[in-house]
Amino acid sequence: MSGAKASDWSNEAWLAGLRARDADVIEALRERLCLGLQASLGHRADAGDADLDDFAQEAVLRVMDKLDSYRSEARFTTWAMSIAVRLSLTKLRRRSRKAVSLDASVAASLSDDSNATEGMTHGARGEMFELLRQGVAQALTERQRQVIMAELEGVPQVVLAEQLKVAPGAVYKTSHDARKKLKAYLADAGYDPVTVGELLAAR
Amino acid sequence: MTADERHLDKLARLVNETAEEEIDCDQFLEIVAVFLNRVARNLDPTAACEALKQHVRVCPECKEELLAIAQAEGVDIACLEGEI
Repeated sequence: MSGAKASDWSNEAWLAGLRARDADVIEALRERLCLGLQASLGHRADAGDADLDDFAQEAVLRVMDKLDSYRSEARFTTWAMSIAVRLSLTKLRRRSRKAVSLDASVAASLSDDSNATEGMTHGARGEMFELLRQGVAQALTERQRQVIMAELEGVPQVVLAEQLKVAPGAVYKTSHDARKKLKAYLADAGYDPVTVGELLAAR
Repeated sequence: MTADERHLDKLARLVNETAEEEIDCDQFLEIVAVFLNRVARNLDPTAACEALKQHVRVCPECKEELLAIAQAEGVDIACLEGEI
């Protein structure tokens, strides 16, 4: 790697250096990831310089573990950065909602009490919201309702997955299945996507 | 807006953007680098790119990651305004 700046290295050069466990290449990757994390997450109050250094260090190890899954259609450094950002934000999300009770989130969220729509927008938009509320109460399973409500409360997927003792992918699938059911529920009542879009835009 | 109405508004938007088939967050991570490199080079979006854009419209966490990766890599994604 001597003679060329890390920013000029090819994908192949990065791969070869990391596979050979070249200390200079590993350090160059750590520096690159750390700079990227500082640029993208450095403004956050919950992410100090020491955190970002730790995340970059851990991300290097994660990238090394995943080298065989790298596909050459992407620039190597962008691929590595995507891993570093996922790792960092997952840690920050877990930290931010560590103490949140899922039950409390659900209780504070969407009510299935029809009186809850009092004071809402009247007219077609209000009717659509009322129908959606009914859909949540009647068309979803308890687990789907739990996931949807937690998402609306901003509970991070990783935290939700840990509380439900399932993989994050399972949380996403539950959410997707629930959203599809609600979309069909609205469509059955005449609220196709165009109509819903118009009502949402008419705020 | 009441808290309930805010939730219903948010839910209605998520439901309306829902597709029959969606990529999940792991699949998003597999293709986001390719996506950003294509955006940076002004290449036409592929089917995978369209799937990624749909995913970030229903997944705020992956949208946050997309914005952060773009910022870290210095990729201008202003051209995606209105699409994500």
